[in-house]
Amino acid sequence: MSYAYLLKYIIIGDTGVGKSCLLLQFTDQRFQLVHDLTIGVEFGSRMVTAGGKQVKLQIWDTAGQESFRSITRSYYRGAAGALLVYDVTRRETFDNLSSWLQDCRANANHNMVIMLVGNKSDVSHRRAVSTEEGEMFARENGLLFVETSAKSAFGVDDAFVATAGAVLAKIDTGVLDVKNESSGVKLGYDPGRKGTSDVARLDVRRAEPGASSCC
Amino acid sequence: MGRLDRVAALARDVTSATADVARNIVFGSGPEGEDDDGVERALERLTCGVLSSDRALAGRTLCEIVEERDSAKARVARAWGERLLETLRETTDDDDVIRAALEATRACASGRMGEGRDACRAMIARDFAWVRQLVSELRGRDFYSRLAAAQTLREASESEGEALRASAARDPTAVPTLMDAMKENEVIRNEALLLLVELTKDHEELQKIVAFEGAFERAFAVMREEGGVEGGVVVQDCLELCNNLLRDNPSNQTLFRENGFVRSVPGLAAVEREIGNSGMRGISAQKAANALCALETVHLLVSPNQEDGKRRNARHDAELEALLRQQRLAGCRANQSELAKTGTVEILVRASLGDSAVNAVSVRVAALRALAALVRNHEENQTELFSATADRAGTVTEPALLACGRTALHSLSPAERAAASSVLGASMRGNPDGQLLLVSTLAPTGFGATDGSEDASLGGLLARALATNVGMVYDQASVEAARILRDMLHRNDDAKLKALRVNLEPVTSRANASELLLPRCVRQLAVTHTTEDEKPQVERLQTVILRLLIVWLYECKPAVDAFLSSPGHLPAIADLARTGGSTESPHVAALACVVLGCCLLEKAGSVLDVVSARVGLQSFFMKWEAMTTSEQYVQAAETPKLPRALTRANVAKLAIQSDGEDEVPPGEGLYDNEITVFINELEERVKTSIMSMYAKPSAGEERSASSVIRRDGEDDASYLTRLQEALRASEKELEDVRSRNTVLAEQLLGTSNPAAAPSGDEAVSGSMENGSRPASNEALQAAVEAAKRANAHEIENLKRDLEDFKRLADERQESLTSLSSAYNGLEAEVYRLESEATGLRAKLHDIADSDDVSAPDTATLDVAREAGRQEGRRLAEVEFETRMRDAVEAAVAEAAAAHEAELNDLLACLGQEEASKEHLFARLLELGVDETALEEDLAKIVIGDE
Repeated sequence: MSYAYLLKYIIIGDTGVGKSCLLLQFTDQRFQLVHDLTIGVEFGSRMVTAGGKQVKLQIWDTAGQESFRSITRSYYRGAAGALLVYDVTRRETFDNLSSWLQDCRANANHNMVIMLVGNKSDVSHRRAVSTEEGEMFARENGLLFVETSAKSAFGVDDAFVATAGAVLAKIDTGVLDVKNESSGVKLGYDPGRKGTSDVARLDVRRAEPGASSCC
Repeated sequence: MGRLDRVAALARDVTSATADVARNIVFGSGPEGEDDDGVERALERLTCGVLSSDRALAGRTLCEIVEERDSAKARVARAWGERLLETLRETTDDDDVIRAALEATRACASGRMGEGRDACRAMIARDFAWVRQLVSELRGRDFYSRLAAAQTLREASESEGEALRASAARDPTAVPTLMDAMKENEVIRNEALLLLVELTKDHEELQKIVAFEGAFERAFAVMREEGGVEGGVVVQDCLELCNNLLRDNPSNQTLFRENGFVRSVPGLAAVEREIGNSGMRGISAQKAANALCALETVHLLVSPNQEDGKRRNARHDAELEALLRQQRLAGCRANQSELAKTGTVEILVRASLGDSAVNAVSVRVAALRALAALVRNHEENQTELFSATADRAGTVTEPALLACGRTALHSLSPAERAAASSVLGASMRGNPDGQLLLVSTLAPTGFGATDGSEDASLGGLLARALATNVGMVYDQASVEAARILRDMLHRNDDAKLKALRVNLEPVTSRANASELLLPRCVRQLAVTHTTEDEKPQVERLQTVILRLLIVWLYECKPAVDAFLSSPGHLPAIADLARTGGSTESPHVAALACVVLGCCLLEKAGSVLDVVSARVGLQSFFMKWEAMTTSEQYVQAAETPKLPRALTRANVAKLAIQSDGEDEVPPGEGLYDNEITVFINELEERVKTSIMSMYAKPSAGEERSASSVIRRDGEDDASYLTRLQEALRASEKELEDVRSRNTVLAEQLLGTSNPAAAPSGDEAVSGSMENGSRPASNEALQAAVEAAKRANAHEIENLKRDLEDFKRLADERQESLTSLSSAYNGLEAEVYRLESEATGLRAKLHDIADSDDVSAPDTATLDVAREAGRQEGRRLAEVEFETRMRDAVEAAVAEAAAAHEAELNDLLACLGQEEASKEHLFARLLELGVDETALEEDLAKIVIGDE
C-alpha cells in the first residue's frame, strides 16, 4: 500500500503503564494482558490517515525498567514522535514524567513531537491523577495530551493520529526537514513495485496544495 | 624514575629540540630497568607534554614501541589507561594530540595475540568511560582520529565483545553515532560495520536499536554499491549484520518485511554453476561466502526455531510462550509468502539442483536447507516446488523433486544427501495430496543405470533403490530412499494403504512374481556388517528402516495386519529388539521395541505374547528407557534450534570445504525432535495398553456378576448351558493368564540371574540400571502383580459361584426326580384302576348278557343274579370306595377328577342295572319262580364268578 510519509514513533514511560498494550491495541486492535515485561510486541506498524494523507506509522515499544533506560535513550534521536505514557491510577508514574522529559530534551531531535498519554482511564475508581493535572503538565511543557484506555481502545487511535497530524504540520511549515534521516520521517515509497512511488508522490502533490490552501 | 626524564623533557621544551633529537633522547636514555624500551617516557610525554608536535611525536614513538612488544602493551594497560583517557578527555582543540593518543591506543589494542594486547582491549571495553570517549571521538573533526577510534573499538570488540556490548548499551549515543559512521568514507564505514556486527551478536536490545536506526537500509545500500553477491567481503559483512539483527528476532523481522527488504534477499542468494575462466573450479570463495550468508538470511526468515541459549533467563508462562510461538509462526509464514513472490523457490532450485547447481557443495547444501525451510508447511510454496523443473545433461527437463531425489540418493556428500532429503520431506509435510501423488509413482520403471539417471519419476527412483539392494549389504541409496518413503507415509492413511500394494517387481519382469514394498523393507533389516567400519552404517540403515516401519504401522490396522501376515516378521523384529541386531545397537533395539509397540496397539494379544516370550517385558521397557536417556536422544529431544551463526571465520572455512558437512545434527541423525515427541507419547500408550491386557484379558466382553444370574423366563436347560459356557470362558481366560504369568515368572527368574552374576558390558549397564532403576518399570511390575492378584481373585469368585450354582442345580434335579417318580406311581395306580374298571365293566356286561339269556327261564337264576349283583355291588362299592380314597389321596387333582367322572359313569350304569334287575326280579316272581331258589341260583353264579 502506498503512503505519503513514513513516521517513526517511540513509546516511552515507566514500567507497567501499558505501553505494550497501547501498541497492541493500535496495531492489532486487541487487548492482551502481557504479564511479563515487554517482550515480543516490540515493533508494530499501521497505516493511518492524517491531514488528508496516507501515513505509515512504525512504532517501537521500549522497555520501561530503569536498567534499560540508557538503551531507551538511544531511540530518541531517530524518532519523529514519542508517546510519553503514564498510568492515571499510579501517581508515581505521573511524577516521573519530568525525568522522562528531561531525557527527551537531552537526546531527542528538538522537532520530535511528544504526546502525553494518560493510560488506564477506564479504571476510574482508582484514579490518582486527574485529567486536569495531565492537561496542565502538557500545557506547561508544550506537549499534546490525551487520555486513553488500552483495554477499551478509548482514545488510542486518537493518540497516534493526532501525533501524526502534528508531525505533518511541522513538515508542511518546513520546520522539519524530511531529507534529514534522523528526523524520523521518510518520504513514502514502495520498493517492490514500480510506479507506486509515483503514486505516493502524486498523493503528496495532490495533498500538499490542499494543505497549503488550508494554512 | 622520571626525574631524569622530566629534566630531559624540560630541556626539550626550553630548547625546542627538533623531532629527531627528541627521538634520540627517547631511545637513547633510560637507565631504569623498568623502562628499558622507553614506553614510560613516551607515555609521559604524550600525556603531560606541552608542545603539540612533541606530544604527537611521543605518540608515534609509543606506537612503534608497542607494536614491537606485547610487554609494553601490558604496562600501558596496567598503569597508563587512566592517564591516556584523561588526555583524550581534556584535549578538545588539538587534533594532532588527539590523533596521536588515539593511534597509540589503537596500537595497544591491536597486533599479534598476546596478554598485553588483550589487557588493553579489556581496559577499554570494560570501562564505560573509555567506550563513551571513543564513541564521542567518532564524531570528531579529524578523519584519522575517527578512524583510529573506530578501529580501537573494533579491535576491542574482537576479544571483549560482551563487555563492549554492555558498555555500548549504556551509552545512548553509541548506536546512533555508529550508524552515522556507516555513511562515512568507506574505510570508516567498514570499521563501523564490523563493530556493529560484533555489537549485535546475542544482544536483543542493541539489535533492536540498530534496526531502529536504519541498519537494514544502510546495509542494503552498501551491498548495492559493492556489487551485490559479486561484491567483496563488505557484502558479506553487511549480510552478517542483517543476519544478526534478524536472528530469532520477530520484531526486527517484521520491520525487515514491512520495509520491503525480504524481496531484496533472493537476488543476493542467486548463484549458479559458473563455467568460464575458472573452468570447473567453482565459484570464488568470496562469492560462495556471500551466497552462504544470503542463504542464511533466507533460512532465518523462514525458520520458526529459536536461537540456542537466547531467553535462557526469561521466565514465560505457557500462555505467553504460546503467544510468542504463534507470533513467530505467523512471521515465518508471511516471510515464506513474501520470499516466494520474488521467485525464491526457483532461485534456490537453480542454485542447488540439476545442471545449474552451483559447483560449491557447501552452497548447495545451504540452498537446499533454505529451500526446505521455505516450503515446509506452506501450501503454495510446496505446490510451486512440485511444479518446478531442473535441467539435466543439457537436454532433459525434469521435475525438480526428481533431481532432488537423485541428489538425496546419490550425492557424495552426506550433508547434501541429508539436505536434499529434508527438502523432499518438507515438500510433503502437511501436504497429503503431494504425499499421495508421490506414493502413486512408486514403481520401478525398468532397469537402467544404478545411479538412477534414467528414472523418470521420483517414485521410480526410490522403488529402484529399494528393490535393487538384494544382497544383504549396506546400500546408501536404499537408506535414503527409506527415509524419503517415511516422509511420504507420514500421518497419511491413504498413502500408507497405497504403499502396501506397491509391487517392486517390474511389470516387464517375465516371472509373475510379486515383491511387495513392506516385506522388502523388513528384509533389509537383516543386513549385517563384516567390518568394524561398517557398523555405524548398518546401525543407520536399521534405524532408518525401523523408523519407516514406525511411521507406516502407527495407527494403521491394515498395515499392521499386512506386517503380521508374514509369520517371520514379528519374531524378526522381536529378535532385533532383544539383541539390537548384528551391531548390538541399543538404538536399533529400542526402535524395534517401538515398532512392536505400534503393533501392540493394533493387535494386542498375539504381539504381547511374542514380546513377552522373545524380549521379556522388563527388558522391553528397559530398552525404551535406555534409548530415551541416551545422549543422542536427549539432544534430539531438545527444542530445535537455529544453526550456528555464520561469521567471517567459519564462513571462510565452510566455503572451501568439499563435503559441505559443517556440524553434526543433534541426535547424530538417528533421531530428530519429531520422533522424540512421538516416542514419548507412544511409550505411555503402550504401557497403558499392556497393563490393561494383563488386567482385563477379554476387554471386549465385559463379564459382570449379572451374567451368571438366572434371567427372567430362562429355563433350566438353557441356563445350564449358559453357565457352562461362562465356566469354559473363565477357564480359558485363567489359562491365558496362567501362561502369561508363567512367562513373566520365568523372566523374573531369568533376569535376576544376570543381575546376580553380571559380566562385561552388562555389568555396567546392569548396575547402572539397578542404581537408577526407572520408576516406571517398578510401577509396571507392581501393576502386573496387582493385575494378577485381581485376576486370581476374580476367578476364585467365579469358581465359587459356579459351585454354588452346581449344588443348587443338583438339589433341584433331585427334587425333580422324586416328583417324577411320585407322578409315575400315580400314573401306574390310575392305570391299574382303569383296567380294573374295564374288568368290572366286562363283568357287568357278561352279567347283563347272561341275564338276557337266562332271565326268561329261571327265577333261581334271577335270584342268584340278584344276590350276585348285590354282593358284587357291595364288593365293588367297598372296593371302589377304598381305591377311590387311595387314588384321590395319591393322585394329582386332575387325574382324580378324570377318574371321578368315569366312576360316576360307572355308577350311573350300575344304577341302571339295578333298576333293570329289580324289574327282572319282580317279573320272575310274577312268573312264579321260587324266590329262594332264584336267590340260591344267583348266589351260585356269583360264587362261580368269584
